[in-house]
Amino acid sequence: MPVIAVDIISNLSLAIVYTGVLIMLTIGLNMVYSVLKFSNFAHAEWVTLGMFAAWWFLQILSFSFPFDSGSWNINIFGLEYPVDHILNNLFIQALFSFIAVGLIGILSEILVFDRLRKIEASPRSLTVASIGIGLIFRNVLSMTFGDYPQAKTIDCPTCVNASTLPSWLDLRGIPQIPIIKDIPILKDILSGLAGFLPNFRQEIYHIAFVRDPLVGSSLFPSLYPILGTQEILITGFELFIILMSIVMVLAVDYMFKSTKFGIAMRATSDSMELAQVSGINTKRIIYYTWFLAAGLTGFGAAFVRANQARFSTYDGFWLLLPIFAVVILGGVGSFRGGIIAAFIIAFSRQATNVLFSQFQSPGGLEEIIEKTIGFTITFSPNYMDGVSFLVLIIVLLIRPQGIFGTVEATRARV
Amino acid sequence: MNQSVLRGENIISGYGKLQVINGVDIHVDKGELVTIIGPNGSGKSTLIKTMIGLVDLFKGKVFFREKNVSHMKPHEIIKEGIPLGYVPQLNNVFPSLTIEENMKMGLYVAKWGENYKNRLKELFELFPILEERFKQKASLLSGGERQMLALARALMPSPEILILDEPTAALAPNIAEEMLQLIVSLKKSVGISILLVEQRARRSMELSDRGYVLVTGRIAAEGNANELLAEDKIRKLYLGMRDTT
Repeated sequence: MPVIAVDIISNLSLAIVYTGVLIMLTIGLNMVYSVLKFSNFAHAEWVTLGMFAAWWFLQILSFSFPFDSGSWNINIFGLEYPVDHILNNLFIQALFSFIAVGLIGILSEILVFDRLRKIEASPRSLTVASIGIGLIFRNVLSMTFGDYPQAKTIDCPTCVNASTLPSWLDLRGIPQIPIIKDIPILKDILSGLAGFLPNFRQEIYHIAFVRDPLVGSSLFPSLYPILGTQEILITGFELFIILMSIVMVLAVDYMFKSTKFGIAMRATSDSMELAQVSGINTKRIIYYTWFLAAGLTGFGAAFVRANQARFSTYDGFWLLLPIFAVVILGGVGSFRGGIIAAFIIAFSRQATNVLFSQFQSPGGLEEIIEKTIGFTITFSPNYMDGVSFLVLIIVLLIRPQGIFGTVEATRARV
Repeated sequence: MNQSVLRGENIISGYGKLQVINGVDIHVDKGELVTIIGPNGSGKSTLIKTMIGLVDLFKGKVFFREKNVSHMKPHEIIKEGIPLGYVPQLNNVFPSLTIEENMKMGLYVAKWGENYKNRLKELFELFPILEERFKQKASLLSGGERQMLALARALMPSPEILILDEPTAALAPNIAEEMLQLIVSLKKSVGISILLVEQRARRSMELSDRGYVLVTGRIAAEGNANELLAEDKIRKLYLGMRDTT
């Protein structure tokens, strides 16, 4: 029996993936919060809309250009490229999602927020309106696609594991072909689909640092009696989420701080009147802000959806609280602060999950308390979100403006 | 006759359906310092905001030189290349921007190249404190320093006319006097036309070439500043002076 019974590295990797998800989905909310100065609760539905937009576009593409059909090739610099391989990939879906959700963001501004601003509605009114907009979109999605989760993947017995790497780095082509279910019209066509994404993103990367020598080889097999199993299992999608989240947040941070457009956005946020007399078309800046904020959320949601076994019209709603927590903890308007905050929320959440699971194990804290006091206190790992919010409250008690936030920014929004 | 840099003809304007300015004719000639005074709520700020497109113009016309800018939005006026600098009463700087970024906003429609650097050098001679604190956020400046930054930002595009809305509001008396002196020195050294709205009515009128007295959205009196200062009724009602000697 190893001394350490918890797979720390695996839990760390899970926390890092969740960090990536939070970072990706936080950027848009932070942008609206920074420039337009209100909490956009419809952000949850931008996430859901992003998932559905990417998914629906995928179906259109799959229908029009079935993967591996070889029906249409284009010639680029003398080389033949199959159009279906170029089009049927996650980036194209994410791009569609970016445009679709971005346009919905602009539509919300034109139909609701701009009108409210004209009658000098307070930020609170805009927030309440955003809740209403969110509810409308969520219900429209439910009416269209149903409230049940949409399944994404099934196993594929024909996929090949072509690993040529050392045995401790087990690159396993996990045999999966995503099939879109529950769409009666397209179901038959799509269930025959050979696949729609480059294979590597569906693979699971397995790095065994330490594991039981009887199970398989690892980097440090001799440490097994002390460390127990320590390994990473991560999908290609998850690696993409981590990478893309960092790229996205740094790009937006650079744009916000160092470009003329970014400075104009911040100026508009500070004083619309002064921005206008400086020559800024503030209306256009607001439209761009909505397009970028909603669009980037949709873009991120396309990646998040691709990594989930199933998704539903409530996915964005369940992510809303952690997303808000990241924005507040990182400091309003601070995209880099958002990275640290996402780490804190994700790690405290995962740590609670591990710790409470241990408390519930035989001979754990739960059992000890029951024997000592005579009644049961449940340490369910489901409390992990609650504990991460407790961390949020503690940090805010010490730094009310958030980790990287400024006092002015906080005051402006209270 | 001097050519008007800024001219408003029969301006009627307001907010939504509320009419605040009720037919005002106003002009500022080249190199002039013109002050608008009047009681609170008389429409002084609304009048100048109307002239630069921030408030809806219901009727009348506004000209910068001979260019009709009536009904144009502020950013359209700036993009037309009209040399105008405006310092609002409140929110006169961008607090979350650094001083450097605030100065850049003064030249937003231009390219931030050599012209920007040269202009910056000239303005640092006028406002050396801004050079010292160039990389700091504007929110960290004191009231007086903020006003200097606001003036410097407005002067960045080398405007022909500077429109100042109560630039001494919320400043300590000695700093307010310094600010007024600075405005006068700008007029003399740069030859810029200035339209000033001020609550320190007597002092600003003493420093001005001409003045307007605005009451309930109408011009109650106008003319040479010295003549206005000499008028008994105006001294009593609007300049807070009881003694006529």
